Amino acid sequence: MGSRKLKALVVRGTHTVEVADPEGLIETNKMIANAKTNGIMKDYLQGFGSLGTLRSVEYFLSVSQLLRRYYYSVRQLEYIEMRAHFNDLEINPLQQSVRFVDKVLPVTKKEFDVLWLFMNHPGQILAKDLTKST
Amino acid sequence: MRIMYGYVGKLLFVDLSNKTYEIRGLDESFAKTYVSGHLMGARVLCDEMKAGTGAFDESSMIGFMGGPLNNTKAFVSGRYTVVSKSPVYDGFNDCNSGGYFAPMLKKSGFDAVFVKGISDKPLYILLDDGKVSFHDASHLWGRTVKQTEEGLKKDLGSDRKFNAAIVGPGGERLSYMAAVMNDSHRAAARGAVER
Repeated sequence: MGSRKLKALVVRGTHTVEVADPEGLIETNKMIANAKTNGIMKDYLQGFGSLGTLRSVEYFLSVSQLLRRYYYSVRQLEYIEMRAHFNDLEINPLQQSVRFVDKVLPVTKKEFDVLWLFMNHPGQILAKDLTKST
Repeated sequence: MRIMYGYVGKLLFVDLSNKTYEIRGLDESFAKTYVSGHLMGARVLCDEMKAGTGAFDESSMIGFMGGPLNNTKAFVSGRYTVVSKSPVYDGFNDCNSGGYFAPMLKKSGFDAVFVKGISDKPLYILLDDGKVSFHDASHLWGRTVKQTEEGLKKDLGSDRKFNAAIVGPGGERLSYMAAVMNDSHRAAARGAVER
């Protein structure tokens, strides 16, 4: 900007942007607020510092999913939610729900975290400390 | 015309050399292919600039890009991207900054602004509800970012909110460490984009 003698770009106005699915957008807002206070993302980054590895990867996965959801509700495209599958078992990380065939299984947060950890590392042997810290 | 969801549907191309501008429509398939300011900016710069254009050349472009989420109710959606050629390594460079500039850019009626050419006098560009105007900025030249914001407030009046991406004295002197500033303390600086 300096080489063009352009000191500033000033913007103002009252234009609005159309959104394809306003209700879906607000619902996503609620989801992100909920996930922040008592969902899967709670304490993630704080507990692990800026070097948080395993959990922060999950955290960013959830965030990128939410961003995708935003994008789809704004741009009127079909949203496909990411889920992990293992035979008949289905895990939804955003809603923190576990389904087996058609039944929703009641799981605690700890159980879900351990299950999610195993689902993300298929065929691997995990150290006991790792599962403990989860 | 079909509504462009998430976009205003207008791109602004400004030429500072002869103080002209051109408003182009945003193509739906183009917006679908190149999501976000970063990708769209890279594509437009690639199309508009010839290979080998130097960062300080007259035909070199700098773009201020908004994305589809700006000015919607989505959380974490207030960032804009500045794209240009970097004088540091002579390649494509992008950097971004938060604050209220990005929503205000969409409110002003444009998805993105591309600036090329070199002005003979210091000036600033005002985008106001789809209207474009050039204003003399010789009284602001050499001022710091905060002083410039105050000067702009005096010029434009404080009855209507505005936001500005500003370069300070460092940017005017082509320092590689300077930044494009908005909201008086938010910076877009990577790759010496302020030059």
